[in-house]
Amino acid sequence: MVELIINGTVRQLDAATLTEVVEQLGLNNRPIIAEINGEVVLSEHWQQTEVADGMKIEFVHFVGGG
Amino acid sequence: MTNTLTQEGHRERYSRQILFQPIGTEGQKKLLQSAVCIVGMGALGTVLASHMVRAGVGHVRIVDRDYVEMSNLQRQMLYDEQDAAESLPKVIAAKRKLQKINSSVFVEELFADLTPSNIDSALEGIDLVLDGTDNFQTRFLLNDGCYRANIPFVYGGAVSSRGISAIFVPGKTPCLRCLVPEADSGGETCDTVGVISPVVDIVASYQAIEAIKWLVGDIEAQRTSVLSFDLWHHRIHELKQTPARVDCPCCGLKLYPALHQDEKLVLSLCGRESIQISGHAPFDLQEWANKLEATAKSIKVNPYLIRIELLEHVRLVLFEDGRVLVQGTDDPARARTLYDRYIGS
Repeated sequence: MVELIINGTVRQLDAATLTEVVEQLGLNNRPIIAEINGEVVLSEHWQQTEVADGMKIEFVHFVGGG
Repeated sequence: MTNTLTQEGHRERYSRQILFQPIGTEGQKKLLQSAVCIVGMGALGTVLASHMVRAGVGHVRIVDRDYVEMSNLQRQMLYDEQDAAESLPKVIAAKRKLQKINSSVFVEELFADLTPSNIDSALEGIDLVLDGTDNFQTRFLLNDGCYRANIPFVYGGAVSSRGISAIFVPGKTPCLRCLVPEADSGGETCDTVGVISPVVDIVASYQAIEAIKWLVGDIEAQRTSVLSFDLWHHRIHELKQTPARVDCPCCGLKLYPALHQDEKLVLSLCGRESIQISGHAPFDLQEWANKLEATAKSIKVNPYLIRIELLEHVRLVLFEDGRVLVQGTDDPARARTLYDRYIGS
C-alpha cells in the first residue's frame, strides 16, 4: 500500500507505478495529463514512474462537455 | 468594413471597455474589425457568443447542428421556452437574440455538423476560433483545422462541476494533440453525469478573455497555462505550458490527421426510425448499463446488448462489438447528437 495525495485527496492504493495508479482509478484511455509534485509526466513514462508515500499527484482531466 | 468607432452610438456603447486601459480606443477598433468563429452553440457557445457580440467583435460566425430543447434552458443562456417549443435550430434562435443585443455586428449562422469537408469554409476569413463543442471528435478536427490554417483556437470543456480552458496558438504553444492523445470522453458527458450552469459561465468567460486579449493584440497578457477547476469542491489548478511535441501528428509532423480521415463514426440507416452508428470500441455492457442507469427511463441488459429507453422518446441499443442503434428518429444529425450526449465521442 502506498499513500498518495491525488488531486488534493489522500488515497491509499496498492500501486507501484503511475500506470497502476491510473488503472486503479479507472482513468485508462481518458484524456488526462499527470503531474507529480508539480512536474508533468508524459504518458509514455507512466510505466517506469514509481510512486512513493506522500507524492502529490494531479490528474488534469480534459473534459469534453460544452 | 463599415463597423468602426465613428459609427453613431459606438463610443457610448463600448465606453466602459474603452475606459479599461488594456483595451482602450485602439483595442476597440481592433475588436470591431475582427472575425471569430464559435463552433457549438450549447452552454459554452451561448456565453461565448454573448461576450463576443456585446464586446463588439465585428463578425461572429456561429456553427451548430442541433435544435433547442427544454433541457437546454437550465444553462444555455441565449434560449427561452418559446425557442424550445418551436424546436428552433440553435444558430437561428441564437442569431435572433444576438442581433437584439447588438444589431451593428455581423452574426453569420451555419446550421451544420462540422466535418473535414466543410471546415475550411467554416474557418475562412476568421481570426480566432472559440470551442463550444461537446465532444472530442469535433475538437480534434478544430485543432487540426486551426493549426493548418494558422488560426488560434481557444479550448474549453465543462462537465459536472469541473471545467478547463486553454488557448492554443499555432507556432507559439503546443496544440491539443500535444497534451492529450486522441480520446473520447469515456462516457462522461453533460447528459450522463450532468453539468451545472456556473461552471459553464466561468469556462466560457476564461475562453472569452483570452480571445479578447488576442484580438486586441495584448500578447504579453496572454495566459499560457491550462487552467482547470472544480467549482463545487473549490479546487483550481494551473498546468504550466509544456513544450510542443516534435512527434505531434498535428503541429509537429503537420499531418493534421482529423482533416484527412473519414469520420470515425459511420452512420447508416437501418429501417424505419432507426440509425446505426458504428466505430466505437467494444462495450463492456454491464459497465455501460451502470453508467447510463441514472439518465434512462428503463434499461434492459442481456449478454449481447443493452436496450436503453431514454426520456426523449428514443431508444439506444448498445451492442458488445461497439455498434449503437438509435431508434425513434430518421434524422442522422439527431442520432449523432444523442450519441454524443449519452455515449460521447
